[in-house]
Amino acid sequence: MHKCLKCGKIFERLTDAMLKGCPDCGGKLFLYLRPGEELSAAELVKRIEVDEPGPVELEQIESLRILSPGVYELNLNALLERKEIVMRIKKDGSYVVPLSALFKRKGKQ
Amino acid sequence: MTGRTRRKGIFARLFRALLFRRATAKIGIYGPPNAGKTTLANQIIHTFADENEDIGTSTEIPHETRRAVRRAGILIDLKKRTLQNLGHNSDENPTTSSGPAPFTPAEAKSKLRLDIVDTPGLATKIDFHDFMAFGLEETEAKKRAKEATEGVIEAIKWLEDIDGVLLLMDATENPYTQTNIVIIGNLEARGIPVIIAANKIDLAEAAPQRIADAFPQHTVVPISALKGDNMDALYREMTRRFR
Repeated sequence: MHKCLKCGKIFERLTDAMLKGCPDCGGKLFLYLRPGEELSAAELVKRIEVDEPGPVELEQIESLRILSPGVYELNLNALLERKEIVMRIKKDGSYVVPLSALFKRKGKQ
Repeated sequence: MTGRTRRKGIFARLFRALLFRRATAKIGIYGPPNAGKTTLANQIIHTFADENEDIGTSTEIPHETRRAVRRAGILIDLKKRTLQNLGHNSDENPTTSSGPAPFTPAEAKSKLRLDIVDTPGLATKIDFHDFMAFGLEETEAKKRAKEATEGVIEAIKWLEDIDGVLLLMDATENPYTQTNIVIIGNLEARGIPVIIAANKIDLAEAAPQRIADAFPQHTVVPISALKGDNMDALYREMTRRFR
């Protein structure tokens, strides 16, 4: 079942006409309801999941994030305050610490 | 750890200040991409070193400078500058003569020997798509993004070896950026003297006062590195702060 979030009309199945909006009111947002389910506005609000805000910049340990080839995000705070560079690959929590560069620097001092 | 490095930095600077007063000051030109860092470096070199020498090329594509470039042995000589101004004023455009007051006799004696380091632009995000918008091929744009990222890291490494920073900001842009705030905070923590130059005042939409309001604890000098407007005020401030 699909419920128009503008006028509340319930449609048993998706029709081609609905791709352009609700045939009654033109609303473009529909909620999918399981058979026999009826939701009130208050319940609907509860169902909406709000994404947790991302980690604050200061808490990020990586100085450089490689999102994809050619797309980089730099954490200037970490770069300015720490000598070592920690890289994060994409968003999946894989980190790279260039050990060779770190040891070289220690050796010099 | 950082406290110790910082103290070491302050002692080293005091030591140098006391014993080698005439030593060369290493001045880094820092700022976000496209603020006009290379244009400013070229302007300083043209004025005080060699008018045909360029430290680098300036283009409208961001991250044109991707390696830090150092030009050693520039003598900022305000007396020479006063003479240059006298020579030029007769044929200068009278509308742009609203520059600062001429140097006082004491100021005109000021000299500052410095090395200039033109650094790659500091940015928090580098995306090759931005370069493709300027007509670069994908491979070339990706290469540029990689080099620009290395450039940011190199620019930051240079800070260890810098005596003063000319922080350049584009006066037509919003100054409240993460890059500007982070770099200023860090320079303050390191105790490195900073002069902020609000560049591009020759453009109608420039609002240098917005930069002065954003960073009231620092000296902000509005300039046009491209046209050479108000450069004397910057040179005066440099001889005062970077000695």
